[in-house]
Amino acid sequence: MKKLLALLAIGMLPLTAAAHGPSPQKVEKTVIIDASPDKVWALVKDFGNWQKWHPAVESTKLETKKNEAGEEETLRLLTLKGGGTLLENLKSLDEEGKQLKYGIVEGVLPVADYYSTISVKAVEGGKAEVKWMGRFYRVYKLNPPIPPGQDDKSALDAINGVYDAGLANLKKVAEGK
Amino acid sequence: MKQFIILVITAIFAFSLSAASADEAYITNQGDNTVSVINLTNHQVVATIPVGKSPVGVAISAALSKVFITNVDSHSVSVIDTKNYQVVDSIDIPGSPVGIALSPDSSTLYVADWNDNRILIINTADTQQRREVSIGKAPAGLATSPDGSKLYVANRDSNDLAIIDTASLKILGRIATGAHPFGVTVGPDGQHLYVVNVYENSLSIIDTNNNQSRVIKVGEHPYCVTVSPDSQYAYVTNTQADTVSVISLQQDKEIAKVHVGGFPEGINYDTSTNRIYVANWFDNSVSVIDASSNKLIENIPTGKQSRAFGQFILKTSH
Repeated sequence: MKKLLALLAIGMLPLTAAAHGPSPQKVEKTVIIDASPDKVWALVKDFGNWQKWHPAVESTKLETKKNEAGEEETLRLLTLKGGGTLLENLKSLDEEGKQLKYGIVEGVLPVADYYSTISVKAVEGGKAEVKWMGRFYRVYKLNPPIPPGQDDKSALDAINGVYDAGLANLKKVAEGK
Repeated sequence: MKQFIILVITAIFAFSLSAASADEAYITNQGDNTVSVINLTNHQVVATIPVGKSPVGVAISAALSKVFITNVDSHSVSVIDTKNYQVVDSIDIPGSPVGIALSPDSSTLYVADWNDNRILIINTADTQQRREVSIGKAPAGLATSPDGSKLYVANRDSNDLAIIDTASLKILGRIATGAHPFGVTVGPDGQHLYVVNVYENSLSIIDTNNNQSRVIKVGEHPYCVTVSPDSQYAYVTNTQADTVSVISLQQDKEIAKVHVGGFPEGINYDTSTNRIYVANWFDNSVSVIDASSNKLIENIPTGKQSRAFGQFILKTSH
């Protein structure tokens, strides 16, 4: 009986929990690469060729389109190795600051309003430091109960996975190992 | 001669007052669940105060010596005593509190619940005394008129600004803005409202006398706005450009872009120092801009994911 009450109590939680609106989530990862910042930046800024270094990307289709405001926008359609696609837009490319900004328009990752910056800077010993940051929300923005796979943790796990795998392989490719 | 002496004495008095106590900025750090308090004379972080979960909004009362912080993920408002930097109360808020503002006399606290589309009106002397008003979708930024008679609400998902009579809680009007209005502030002249349109990269300026508005282009994905005390300039944070747009309100256009930290959100003008303070969500810092030169002076490290949504400067000097 005690067990049953405990079970019922757990079952009640989503109903009694207060209404909820999500907070933006952040992932920030850095890696030090034993290669020149110019060499690393050449890989990172090549928006249509991330399959050269990101192990999850099978291929990329790059295109330029006019957005709603009538401005030219660069988009890429990533086909992922596990299946599925991601449509992303290039927001800016800063050659001097070695920083690229992009967002996700739509795709298979369990995130909403995803925005990211990836930058390269020179550090000691002629090495490069790459910093990849993302800001996004979980998919489900309304009150609990949150459907499985649409919560904050699912969103964070996915982006952590993308950044960890990407930066590890970027290091390998740039270092020529 | 007599006049001159009075002037000198006044000047000395004013100087000693401002030297004795500095203005302070209360910066919410979403990722640390803290508030960083920055001394605006020497730019030192003088306190880091634990608050509720995922703090966002700030409202300040010099009269009550209190700061009110919305904690969106713990559904509460933390009340900080500014004399000892301690949380002295926590007010439960049903829903998701984000935007927050005080009446000019500090008697009433307004909290926007952007999940349940309503504004809670709380008596600061007895926080159990509450009223509420239903409003447009996802109410975000809040501001009050200088006489306290009106509350202005940016309804993010309704693309308008609501004007509420604070006595009757009647909605007096809803003025169309650009897409996705978020930050709102009332200009120092009390006659103009400044609303930031996130999805349109623009700033709407509404004349409160006739509710006519004009629109000025700013940078990428803007969030918040502040205005210089002489109403000559508006400053807008462009979150996805890592800049602040300086807008000439005479020319109705951007006259400078100041590079600040990553993903700038909350922004306030400190009238004592003529500097602008900007909270950077990506860089965990506050950028300081000199208003006379529109140059970045300094980046002050704060806590994780700084937001500071609202009026976050406590004025202790006059």
